[in-house]
Amino acid sequence: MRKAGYFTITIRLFAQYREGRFADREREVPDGAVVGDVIKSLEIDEDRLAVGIILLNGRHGKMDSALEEGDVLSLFPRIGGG
Amino acid sequence: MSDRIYRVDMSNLSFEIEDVPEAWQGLGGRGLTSTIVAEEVNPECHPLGPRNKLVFAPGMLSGTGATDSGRCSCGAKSPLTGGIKESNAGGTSAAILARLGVKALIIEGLPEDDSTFYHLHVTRENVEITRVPELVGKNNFEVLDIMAEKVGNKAAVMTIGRAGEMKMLVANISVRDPNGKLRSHGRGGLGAVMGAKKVKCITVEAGPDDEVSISDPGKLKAANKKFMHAILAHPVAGEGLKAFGTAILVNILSEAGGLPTRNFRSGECDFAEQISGERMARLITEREGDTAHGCHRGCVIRCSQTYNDEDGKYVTSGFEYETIWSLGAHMGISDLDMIARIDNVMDDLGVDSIETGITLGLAVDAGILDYGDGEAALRIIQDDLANGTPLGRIIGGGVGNLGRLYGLVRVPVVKNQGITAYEPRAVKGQGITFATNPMGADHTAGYAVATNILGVGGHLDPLGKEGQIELSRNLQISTAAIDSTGMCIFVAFPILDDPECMPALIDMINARFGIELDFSNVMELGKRILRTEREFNLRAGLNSAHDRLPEFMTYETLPPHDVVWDFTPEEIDGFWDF
Ligand code: SF4
Repeated sequence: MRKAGYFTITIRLFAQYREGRFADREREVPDGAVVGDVIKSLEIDEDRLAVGIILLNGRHGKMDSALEEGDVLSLFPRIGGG
Repeated sequence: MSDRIYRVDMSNLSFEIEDVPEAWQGLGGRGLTSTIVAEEVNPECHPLGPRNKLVFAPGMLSGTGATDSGRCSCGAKSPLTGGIKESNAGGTSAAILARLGVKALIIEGLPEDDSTFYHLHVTRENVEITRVPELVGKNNFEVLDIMAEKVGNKAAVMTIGRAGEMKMLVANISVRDPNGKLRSHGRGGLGAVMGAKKVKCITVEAGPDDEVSISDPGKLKAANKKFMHAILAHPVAGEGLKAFGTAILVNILSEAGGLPTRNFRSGECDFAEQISGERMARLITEREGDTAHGCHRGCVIRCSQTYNDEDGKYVTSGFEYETIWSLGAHMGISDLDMIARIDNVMDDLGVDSIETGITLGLAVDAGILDYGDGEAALRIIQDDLANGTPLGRIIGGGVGNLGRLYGLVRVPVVKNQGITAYEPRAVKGQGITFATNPMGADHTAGYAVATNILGVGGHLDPLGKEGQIELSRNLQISTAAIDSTGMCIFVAFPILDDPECMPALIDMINARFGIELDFSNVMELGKRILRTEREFNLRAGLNSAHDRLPEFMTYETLPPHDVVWDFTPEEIDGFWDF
C-alpha cells in the first residue's frame, strides 16, 4: 500500500556511489520531491565526490528536475573512459 | 644529439639514416606519421603492395619524462579503409625510439625473397635485418619470450601474430608493455601491412646514455609538475579510471540508451550489469588482480588492469570497454570470464579485438553462430581465424566484408571500419565523429561522448543535433594535436575541464624543442593534420559520400528513445568548413 503523500521511484547508483549504499532500489519519496532532495537523502558527500551525471528515465536531468511516480533515477559521480 | 629519420628498405634489406627535413621538425606522433604517409605514399597504391609504407613515430614528448607521454603512433595506407591510418599504442616503444633519437622509423618496399619473415633490430645508428624462419607461425606471447632471450627484456618489441602473417584486415601490431604484456596498434589492419612487408617483429634497444635532447629541462620539469597535478586532481583521470577501468562506461551508456545492443537494435542492454566496470572491479579485487596498471612507464592515470580467473590465475590485461562491449552487448556474451579468455586469445593471435568482436556480432546476423554463444566465438578464433580456414578468413576480413558476403544491410561500418560501442543515433556528437573522421569509425578521434553523456567539457543533449558538428570538429582538431604529442587521449578529460592543463602541455612542448607555440598554433597544427589526412583520402577515392553512417540508421528507429540518424548530407559536409 502506498503511503498518502508519497510516491515510488527507482534509484540506481553507480561507481563509487554504491559503496555502503546499494545498486538498485525502490524508494518512497514525498510529493513534490525533486532530484536534489533524493541526492541529499542519500548523504552523498558533494565535496569529495560530486554528482557528475543525473539520468532521469534515461535522459539527462538536473538537481531541480521534478520526480513522478515510476521514475527511474540513475546517479553517477564524474566518470569517463573511451 | 638531434633526431634522425631511420628508413628501412625491405626490397634490398638495407637501411639509411637521414636528417629530419625542415617541414617535419616540429612534428611527432600522428602529425608526423600522417605527414610522411601523405608525402611519400601514393594514395592510389595497393595497401599491401610495394608502394605502401609503414611509419612509426614517437610523440613529441615521448621519452622526456613528461607524464603520460609514452604513446607511439603507427601510420600507413589502411588495407581496411583504403584511406590514411594512424593508430597509437602504449608500451615501451615510444620512449625507447625517442631516446635513440629516432624521429620516425619508415619501412618501405617488399622483399624479393618472400619465403620467410624478418626481424628488425634498431639500435643507435644501426638497423640489423635478419631472417627469422624460426618465428614464422608463432603468436605474440611466444615471440615476446623469444625476443626477451635474444635481445633482453629492456628492449621494446613490436610484433605481428599469425593474423598479420596472413595479412588479415583485422590484424594489429602488438607492442610489449612494461609488464611484459601486450598493447596494440589495433585498428585499420596495420598488422597486415607489416605482414606484407614480411616483418615479423621489430625490437628497439637504447643504451644507458641514450637520452632525449631537451632544450630547457628545467622548464619542462616545472610544466610537467603542473600538468601531472591537473591530471591527478581530476575525478575521472585521477581516480575513476584507476578504480574501474574504461568498462565503467557500460552501465552509463546503457542507462542513457546509447549502448549498441544486438547489432545496433537497441540502445539498452538487459545484462549490462554483468559486463560492467563495477562488476569487473569487484571481481578483480576478489581474485587479487590489479585494477590500476599503466600501459607505459609514466602513466599516472592507469586505466589498465590485470584480470584473473576464479582460481586467481592471470587471464588478460588491458581489458577495455570497446572489447567488452563488442563481445558483450553486441555479440551477446554476458560472462565476463569468457570475454576475458577470448580477449587474451585475440591478443596472442594479433587481431584487433574491436574489429574482430564487431565482426563476430555481425556473424550472428549472418547465421554463423548464436547470440551469446561464447564457446562458438572462441572456437572460431582459435580454430578458424588462427589457421586461416575459409571461415577464419571471412571473419578476419572485418565487419564490412562479412556484411557484403552474406548480403546483410544492417552493417555497422564507416569507411569499412566497424562502429564501436556508442550508438550514433543516441549519442549524436559521436555519430558526427564516426562519420567524418578520416580514419573511419574511430571512437577516440573526437570523443563527443564526453560532452554528450559524461558532462565533461560542458553538456550537449546527446539526442539533439544542435552544436554537435562544432563540438565534434573542435574535439577532432584538438585530438589530432594531442595524438602528436605522445600523450594518452585520456589527458583530454582534465584538459576539457581544467584551464591550467593545456598551457602546461604546450609549455612542455616548447621546453622540449626550444620553440614558442601558443594555443592557436597548436590548434592550427590539429587542423593541418586533419586536412592532410582528408586530402590523402580524397586522392585515394574516399570523398563526402564516405562521410556517412550506415543507411539503416536513417530509417530504423532505435529504442528506448526512438531516435534515428537525422543529419542531412549537407549538414555533415559542413564539418569540413574550417
Ligand atoms: S590511461 Fe590507460 S591507455 Fe592511457 S596511457 Fe595510461 S594505461 Fe595507457
